[in-house]
Amino acid sequence: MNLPKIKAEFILDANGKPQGRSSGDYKIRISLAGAPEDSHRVTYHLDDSYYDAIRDVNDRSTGFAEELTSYGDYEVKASIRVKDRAILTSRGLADALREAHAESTDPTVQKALRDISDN
Amino acid sequence: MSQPIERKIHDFSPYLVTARYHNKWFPYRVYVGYSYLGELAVLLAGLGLASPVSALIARASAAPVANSGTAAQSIGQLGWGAFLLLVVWLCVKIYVQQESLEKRCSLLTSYRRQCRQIEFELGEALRASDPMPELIQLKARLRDLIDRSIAEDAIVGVGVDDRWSGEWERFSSDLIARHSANWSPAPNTDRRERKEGDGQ
Repeated sequence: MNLPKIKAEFILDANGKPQGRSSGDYKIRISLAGAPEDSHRVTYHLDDSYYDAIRDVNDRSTGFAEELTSYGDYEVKASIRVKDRAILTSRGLADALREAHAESTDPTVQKALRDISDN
Repeated sequence: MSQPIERKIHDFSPYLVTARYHNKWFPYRVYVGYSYLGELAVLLAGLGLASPVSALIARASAAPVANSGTAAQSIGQLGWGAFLLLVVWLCVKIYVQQESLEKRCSLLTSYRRQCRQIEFELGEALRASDPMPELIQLKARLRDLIDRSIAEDAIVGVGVDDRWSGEWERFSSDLIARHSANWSPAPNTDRRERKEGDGQ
């Protein structure tokens, strides 16, 4: 059985540039790919520096997507709840972002990737 | 801090409000009826309802062969009703056992009671200027409770029923209206700034 995979992408503005840098953080959307059919909730465990570090998402139609901001890299953990058990998975935020924007040549996206990786 | 707190309240509401109506679940009502009627049957038997019936059956067994048709007719008038009730009773009993309703309904009752307790503690937590740490702990408790109840088939679906969405919206709005004046302003970003010497 393949483990569900955490995905992450920058939220881009109308010009294709990452949003949120002026506030010091980038706006990011995390989601989950490959969640089992009967999963009904995903709990994301973010870095302790978040005001609300534990986020429950019930909306399967969005791929259990959650929006957040970050200035740096950390390990995102997800607990996927199916009927009688929980599946745990985790992934580095920078790694997930690099995968999502691997094709991008936009310098602002490249800079955002560097900022996240370096912090 | 109001926005993250408001969002957290919206996380609680669907579960807490739906829990109030879990007693409308049809198998739960069947089980409650079965339990109460079972107790009532025992009580009536204790009061002596059973003896006239058994006396009638005993008379029919002891009756001469020539009168057996009349005796059977007497039993027929009273007995068929009782027999029908017995069949219905057995069907309900089989249903209750097959569906493990005794255990599930007991867990459901406990689930509703614990949700009421969490609802009370939620109201208390929201009085603080920064309720978030308490809300995170309460949500973890609710999450565990929901997960256990789903795994044990004690609650229907995932514990949220959209029929009550209007009510849980009102529940959230009411809590926000009552307590938001206590809360400190929301942070500018959801992630706190790094401090000097932090690893990240």
